[in-house]
Amino acid sequence: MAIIPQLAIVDALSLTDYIPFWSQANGDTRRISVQNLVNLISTAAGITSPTVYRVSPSGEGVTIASPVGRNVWVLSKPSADYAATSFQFPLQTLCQQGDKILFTTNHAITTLTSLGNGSTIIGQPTAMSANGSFTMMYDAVNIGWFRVA
Amino acid sequence: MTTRINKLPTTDIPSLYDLLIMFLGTSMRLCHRAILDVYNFVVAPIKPTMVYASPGSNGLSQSLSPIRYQWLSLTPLTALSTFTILFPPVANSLQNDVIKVTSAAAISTLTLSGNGATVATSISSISPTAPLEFTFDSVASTWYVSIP
Repeated sequence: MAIIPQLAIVDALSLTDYIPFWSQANGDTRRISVQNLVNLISTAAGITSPTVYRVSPSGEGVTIASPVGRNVWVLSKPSADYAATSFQFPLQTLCQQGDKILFTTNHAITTLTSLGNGSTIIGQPTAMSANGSFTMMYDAVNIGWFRVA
Repeated sequence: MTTRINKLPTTDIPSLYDLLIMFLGTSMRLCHRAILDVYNFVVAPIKPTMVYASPGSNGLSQSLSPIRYQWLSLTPLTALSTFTILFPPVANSLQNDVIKVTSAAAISTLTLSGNGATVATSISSISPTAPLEFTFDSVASTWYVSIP
């Protein structure tokens, strides 16, 4: 029986190819598709496509549902400027290191209030101009969301 | 007993702690590694390594090690007038290395020391609402602002 370095090599893996692995949960050897392995790693790393929250009614507060996705885009697209609105971050106990939230708006928000939901919020703007944006990232050590862009 | 891989049972919910079989090219032997190890290998360049500093007074500095992607999280106790960030040695910095900097309090005079590299910016302060990010170009030995 050939050992691994004697096997034929492929230059291009397919997402439908299989890799054998030991399943800790089942206590046996199983197979996993490359697609599922990629999904597992990218989901854990928060590098999946963002979960999009679209908000359009004027003045409506924005609440990110829990459990949060690792990568979230709050897309605010009202028909007119906001006088005031609030932005409630995900429940702190469900946040993970490196979670990221991008917030964009096509209309100005005169007063933007943040609700940490257990986390400290550092650097979030208190107002936004039309077509403005900012990005917050979660740090588990400081138990806080920091503005990173 | 020999079983074809495509005859093995599948699983819908794999875990990062499940084990993969690997052949190590350097030592020419078989081993098993957790999927978590593959995750760390893949994600290290795109997920920031945290570096923390809580300067309590003016005039302090923070040296950075050569890491592919790092996030320096400054949490001063109060606003500071002076603070210095010493970038990684230029000889150990690689193309596309990224340094992200946030500060929980304002620093009015922030010195950015390239440690042999050029830091191409006129930025001289930082605040909670104005984070910084720098990306390294090895050809020019220069850190460029990638998020002003």
